[in-house]
Formats: sequence, C-alpha cells, structure tokens
Amino acid sequence: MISARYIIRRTMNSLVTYAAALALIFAIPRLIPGSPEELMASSYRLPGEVAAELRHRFGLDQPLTTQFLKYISNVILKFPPDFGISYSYYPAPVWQVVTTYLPWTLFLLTLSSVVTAALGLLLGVLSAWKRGSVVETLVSGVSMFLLSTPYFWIAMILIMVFGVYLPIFPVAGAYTSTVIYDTPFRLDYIRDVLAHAALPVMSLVISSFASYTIIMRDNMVSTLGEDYITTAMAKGVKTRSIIWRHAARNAMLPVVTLFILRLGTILGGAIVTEAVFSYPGVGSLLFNAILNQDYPVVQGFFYVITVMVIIANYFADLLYIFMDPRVKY
Amino acid sequence: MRFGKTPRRALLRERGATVRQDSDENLSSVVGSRHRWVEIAVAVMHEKRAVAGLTILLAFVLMGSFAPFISPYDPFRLLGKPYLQPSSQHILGTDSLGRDVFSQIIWGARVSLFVGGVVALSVATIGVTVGLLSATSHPIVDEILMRLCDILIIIPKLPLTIFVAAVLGRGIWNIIAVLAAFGWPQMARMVRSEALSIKQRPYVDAARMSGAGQLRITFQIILPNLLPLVIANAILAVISGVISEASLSFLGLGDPSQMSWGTVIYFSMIGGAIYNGGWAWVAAPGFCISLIGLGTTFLGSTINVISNPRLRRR
Amino acid sequence: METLLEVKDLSVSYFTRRGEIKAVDGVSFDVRRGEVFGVAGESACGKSTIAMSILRLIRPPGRIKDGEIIFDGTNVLQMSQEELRHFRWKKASMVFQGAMNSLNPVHRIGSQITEAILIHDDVSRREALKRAEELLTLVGIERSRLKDYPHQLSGGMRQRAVIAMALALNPKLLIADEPTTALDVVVQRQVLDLLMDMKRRFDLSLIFISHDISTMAGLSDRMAIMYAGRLMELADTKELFSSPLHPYTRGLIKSLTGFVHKGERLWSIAGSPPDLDAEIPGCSFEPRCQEGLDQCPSNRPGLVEVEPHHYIACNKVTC
Repeated sequence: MISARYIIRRTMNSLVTYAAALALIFAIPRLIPGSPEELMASSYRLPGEVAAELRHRFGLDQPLTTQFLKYISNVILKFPPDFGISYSYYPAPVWQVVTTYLPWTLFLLTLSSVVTAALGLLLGVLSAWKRGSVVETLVSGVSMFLLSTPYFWIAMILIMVFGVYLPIFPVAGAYTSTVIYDTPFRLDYIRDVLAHAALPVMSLVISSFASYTIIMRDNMVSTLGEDYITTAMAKGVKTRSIIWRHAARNAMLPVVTLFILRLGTILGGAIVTEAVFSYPGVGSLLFNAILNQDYPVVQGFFYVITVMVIIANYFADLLYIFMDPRVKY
Repeated sequence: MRFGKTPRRALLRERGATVRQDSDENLSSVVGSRHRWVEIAVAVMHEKRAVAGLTILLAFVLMGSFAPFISPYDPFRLLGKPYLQPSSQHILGTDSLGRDVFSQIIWGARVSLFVGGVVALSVATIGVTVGLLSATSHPIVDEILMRLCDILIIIPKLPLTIFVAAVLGRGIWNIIAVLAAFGWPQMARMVRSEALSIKQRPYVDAARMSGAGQLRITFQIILPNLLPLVIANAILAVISGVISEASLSFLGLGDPSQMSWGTVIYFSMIGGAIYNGGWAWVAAPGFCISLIGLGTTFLGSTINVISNPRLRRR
Repeated sequence: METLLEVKDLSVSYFTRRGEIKAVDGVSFDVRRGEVFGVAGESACGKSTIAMSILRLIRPPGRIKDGEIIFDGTNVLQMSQEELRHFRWKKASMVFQGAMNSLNPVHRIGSQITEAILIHDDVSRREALKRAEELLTLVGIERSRLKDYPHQLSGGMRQRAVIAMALALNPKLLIADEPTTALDVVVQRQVLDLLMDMKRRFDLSLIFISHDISTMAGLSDRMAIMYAGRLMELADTKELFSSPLHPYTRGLIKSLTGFVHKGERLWSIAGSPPDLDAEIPGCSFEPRCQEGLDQCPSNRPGLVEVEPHHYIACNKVTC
C-alpha cells in the first residue's frame, strides 16, 4: 500500500543523503595533508613551476567555495557528471575511466548476489524445516564458521584448490587476454568469461551466503511456529505448499531487504576479490588510483558506488512495501 | 550458585528478583535489581554454544597475551629454508623468507585481537554516547545525528577505509582510528532504537512518576538496560574489527612492523605461497580468523537472545 | 444422544530440555452429536493441547504419548495420512485462539477460504469462490472483503472470517479455542451469538474452550473442568453450577464476581498452578485445596461417576 506521500518523503530522504554524500566526497580528498598537485609534482620529480601550472590546470588555485560550486555544477548539471580529468589516465575524463571498469564489477556483483541469495534462502529453509536433524547442525555449523571468513582468504584457498591442485578454472583476469574477440556475443567468449568469473563468484558466494542462511533459518523457525501455519496444516495443505507458499513467503520479507542493503558490503568484498584475481573492475581501479594519488578518479569512484547504494536502498524500501501488505505508509 | 537444572523461577526468586506472571518480560524488566548481571550471566553460561564461544575467545586471548612466552621463534626472524612443509621443527612450516609460520600465528593473535578489541571498545563508547544522546535529546539533534549515521553507513565502508588508511599511512593506531571512525554509526543506530523502545516501557513511566529526573532515568534505567545489547554487539564488533584490519593489511595498508593475521595473509599472497606449496601458510591465518568469528558469534548472539526476550521465540 | 467423539485416557507431553512436561495427563471424556461441550480451566491447564490433539496437530517437541481419540468410530491417532486429510477440516475443524494469528498476513481472506475448499472438494475455482462469498455473508461480512488482507479487517471481523473458514467444508465438529479472548465485550457477544447460530444451522457439535466460565455457562450443555493437565469434574452445566462437588470447581465459581460491594474483597483461590515438569503422584490440586485428606498428596484420584452423568476426580468425594 504505497501512498504518493510516502514516495515523495522517501525520495526527499534519498536526495538529502545524496546531497550530503556529495559534499563528503568533495571534502575528503581535500582533507588530506598536502595538495595533490604538489604530491604529483614531487612524485614525478617535476620543477616547481610545473606544480603551479598543474594547480592552475586543475582549478585548484581558486577559492574553496568556487571550487565547490564548480564541483556541484559539474556533477549535477552535466550528464555525464564531470569529475575532471584523471591524473593518471591523462587526458581521459574520469567518468570515462570509471565507466570502462564498472561493467566487470557489476557483472561479478550481480551474478554473485543472485547466487548468494538463492543459496542462502534454500539452505535457510532447509535447515529450518529439518530442524534438529544432522542436516541442520551441519548447515548451521558451516554457516557460522563461514560467517566471519574473509573474502580474500576464501579466494586464495579457491585459487590453491582450483588453480594449483585441480586446475579447472583460470585464476586471473576476466577473460583470456591473449585472445582477441571481435564481438562479445560469441559463445566461446561467453564461455571464457564465465570460466574466469567462476572462482571470483564462488569466493564471493561462499563468504557471503552464511548470513542469509542464518537469518532465513531464524525467520523460518519463528514463522513455522505461527498459528497460521498450524491452521494451514489443519486445513490439509500439502507440505511443500506450507513450506513455500505459507511459511517462506512470510519469512523471506526481511531477507529481501537485507539482500539489497547488503549490496554495499558485497561491493567491498568484490573490491578485495578483484585484487586477488586481478579482475579488471572498479576495485582494481581504486587501488591504482590511490597508489597514483589520482584523486579525481577516487572521487568519481565513490560517487558512482554511493549513488548505486542509495538507489539500491531506495528500491529495497519500495520492494519491501510491495511485498508485505501489512506495511502502510 | 547451583548450575544444575534449577527451574528458572526458583533461581530468579533466590536472586531477589520480582517474578511476574508473564515470565517473558522477567529478565529485561527487572529494574534496579542488583543481581541482574548475575541472572543474565548465569543464563548465558547454561547455553553450550556460549560456553564454547567463550572458550575459543579465551584460548586466543591467552595465546595472544602470552605470545612472548609461548611462541617458539621470533616471527620476523629469518630462520632457515623458505617454504618448508609443516614439521616438528616448524608446526606450520616456513614462509617465503624462511620465517616460522606458527610463531606468526601466535603473535598474530596478539595484534589482531588487540586491534579488534580496541576498535570494539571505541565503537561501543562512541556508539553508546551518540545513540543515547540522540534518543534523549531534542528531535533536531536526533535528526542531525541520525542523518550523519545514515551517510556514513551508506557510503560503502571498505573502500572508504581503504582510502583513508592509504592516505593516513601505515601504522596500527591509524588503522584503529579509521576502523573506529567508520564503525560507530551502526552501534549508535542500534543503541538509539533500543533506548527509544526502553523509554516506552512501563517502568520508565513509573520512575518518572515517582520523581526521577531525565539524567537519572538515562543513566540509572536506560543505560543499564541497554548494556546487554551493547555488550553483545561489542563482542560482535571485535570480529568485524579483526576482519577489517585483515582486509587492510591484505591490501598492503597494514602496519609492517606488526605481524597480524592479515599481514600474514598479505605476505603469503605476495610471497607466492599458493604456487610454492605453502598451504599451511595460507590456510592457518584465515582459519584462525574464522574460528574467532565463530566464537564471537556464539557468545554475542547468545547474550543478545537471552537479554532480549523478544528474540527468544524457539 | 449419539456419541460423536470419544477421548480415552489421553496423555500428551512436551519433551523439552527441562524434562517432560505433562500437558495432558490421562484425560477421558466424550462429546455427543449436536451438543455444546465446554472445557474450562486456568491457563496452561491443557485445554488447548487437547483441542490440538483431536486434529492431531501436536508437533515436536510435543507428542501424544497415550490414549485414543475415537471420532465417529475411527481412532484419529491411528489414521493414515490420507484418512487424516479427509478427516481434518472436513469432519472436524478448529478456530484457534487469537484469530489474528490464524490468518496468513500475506494472503487475501478469500484465497485462504477457497484454499480449504479446493484442497478437499473437486470443484472449480469459481465455485469455490462462490462458496466463500456465501460463507462470508453467513457470518456477516460483506462479499467485497474477500479481496482484503487480514490486517484490513477489525478484530471481530477477523474472528468471524476464521469461523467462516472453519465451516467451509461443513464439518460435524467445530472446536473453538478461546474464540473471544482479546475481543471487547460487545464484539464478544456478537461472535458468541454467531457461533451458536452456526451450530444450530449446521447441526454442529461444538467444543468450546475458555478460561471464562461465566460465558461458557450460558452456552454449554455440559462442561469439563481441567486443572494442571487433568480432568477434575465433568457434568451437565446446570448440575455443575447448582451442586459443584470438586473443591476446585467450587473455588472457581466462588471467585466469579457479580457486583462487588464497596469494601468487599475479591476472592480468589490462593496459590498458583504447579510446574508441569515435576512428577505429581497425588492429586494435582492438593497444594491449594482447603479440604484435603491425608491421602491426597500421594493418591491420585480417578474419574468416578458419583451421580448420573456427573463425574469427579476427588479423593474426598469418592472415598
């Protein structure tokens, strides 16, 4: 039951958060001790005049307020948002750089999120239904252990197992770089990409399904204890229908929102995973950018992912209202 | 104190608590009972999971604390041949520089848990302060503080911590500061919502009617009732801190002078452990982190469930 | 009158970490066709457990340990899954305590009723929907409400919807477990009137479970008084109230408040019910009984018919 009033309020909410994030992103690089152009100049061992020239080029010699206003107008009023030119990929504009790397990360993210959610849901339902049995103990035990397993460690173990001892999957890159494909819509290209994605996705899935399983299981257990389940049993509803149509349908609700809200965390995991697998996504981009003190790219990166998370949260709320008829706004 | 099968009612009566008919609210609504911590602690100790979790944690804490005495070698010392397989000399083998891995693990416990602990403590302190403030102050203050939390929570934590850590430079206190700075909003949010719900409870009204002032209510009623939740989540924050520190170290942003578990994994990565047969080197630190995680989850979630009857729906 | 349901020596326990909790301990009674049978007692005396047992809805950690439940000649406890499916809801159905929880919050009212129909009867969806409409009208809810979700109905309407759902397949026995708790007095009256109306219309047998004896007294033909999982007294309602024989029954009746005069104290039975995880070798009411005999703590009284159709389990009366 969504009212227009709620949508407006929620949208305002998101916009305020967006605005604040925008300001924060502007502030952070400038809070760093030392100025970027001097750092650049000194790292490339350039003479002082070059530093001054750089400073002027990048607009860093203007008063802060002017810089801020220019930043705002560049980001909001232009599409694509203009974050300036990358210091390290000069003269490519930041936006172009970021969007070149973004698709790979999105690919990894989407694939792993979907698999994680599905696996977590299934295992959660299974361990709740088979409560008290060996299956439940096994699933719970493994889940609890994997709950706090670092992404990158799983990644390394997987590389060890599948790269060295049982070489089935490739361990680096998004595709075989030595081969040139004329179009991405070829079957062997797709196979290649999937093979390269296998280990990164597996490590992301293994390290994140646990929390979904545990939460789904807890929800299922309490849902199964509700009176309407007993009523359904009394009515003679078939077991399969009880588990899915009656119980899981209710237990799922908080998990759905959790899933979308967790996108931010999975993003963090994806970044680290990219490092391990040399996967050409925005994670690698971030590292290089930080290493090279390429602050415009850093800004662009944070902008993109923050906007993604804000949008995701927004839809998570809407989705929840859509799924739970009790919620009124 | 009998740890046998004493019926809970009798135990509570013994402890001077008021036992109400609707026993569900008993534990969390016994206000001002001097023995409340004992109640919760006793109940937690009854749960096998919590005991197991506490044992694991204690084992690692002891391991870390007594590292100088139990570690067979200096973790940084180049001892012999690199990539040695586990043996009686080197329980977990040696790394790419010929250093003993087992010693690294023992010392790693010290560093990792230290970071985790300090971060958890800071997060708890800041979180409780902000959360309480938010819940008991003027709505505008509340709104501002919560907005701040929202922003810090929305911006994905890991990239932000990576960036700030990279900028601040390597050093254990820098890392602790960064992790604490980005970890408190979650705690603050939780504290605030719990504090608000405590404010609604009948015994707060009762206290107000008998003349208690705002400060008294906050510190003598709300805060004590918050503590179980805070403690449970602080315990969970420890593992979060350990993992975050490990992530930062893994990316090369850790303190090179300290051998934390994350640093060990970092060295194993750049030292090519995977391709040189160093399986123990790779497996051990991550396994320890997961184990600590298991322990903290067991302990923390049990405390949460016991002190919050609403969660107890088995 | 013919007997529809016979409960013989039913024992149901919950096996928890604290031990075995004897929720129902050796209870026997029968329900005749077309009668309203009331089961009364304090909270946790086993009334709901008996109700759930009749439809075999007891789930782990609970288990029906012993006894027989004979419905229309067949022992429910020995039915196969198929027979059970034909029995449940079609022959006997139930209205649970707290209707808000009996309805699935994410399914519409209409579909929950038609679900019951479609599972058992081989009719088309349209016919099932029609029947659901009829049922709603019968209980006094507009047809348009079929499309609503449970939270959109008021408490009283939800209760009526649940009753409609229970009657969907024209059962012979309807078990109503605390149908009026959590409703305000006016709505209570409406729901009770509805129940009685349905009973007359469909010639149902009704098992009415409640802790509110005064309400039950007006509706029940016969009443059973339960305490701590055991049956204390069983008689025709009039007989029970005019000459209650069991100390517990007398205590309950005495504690019913009519209009209390200023300064008068409200009377209640001293003490509280026993923990059901302990073994109680004697009479379970003994600790609170004012008229106990020496043998009461150790000798458990059996159910004896001291007068025609008046059963009692009390050492004092039967010895």
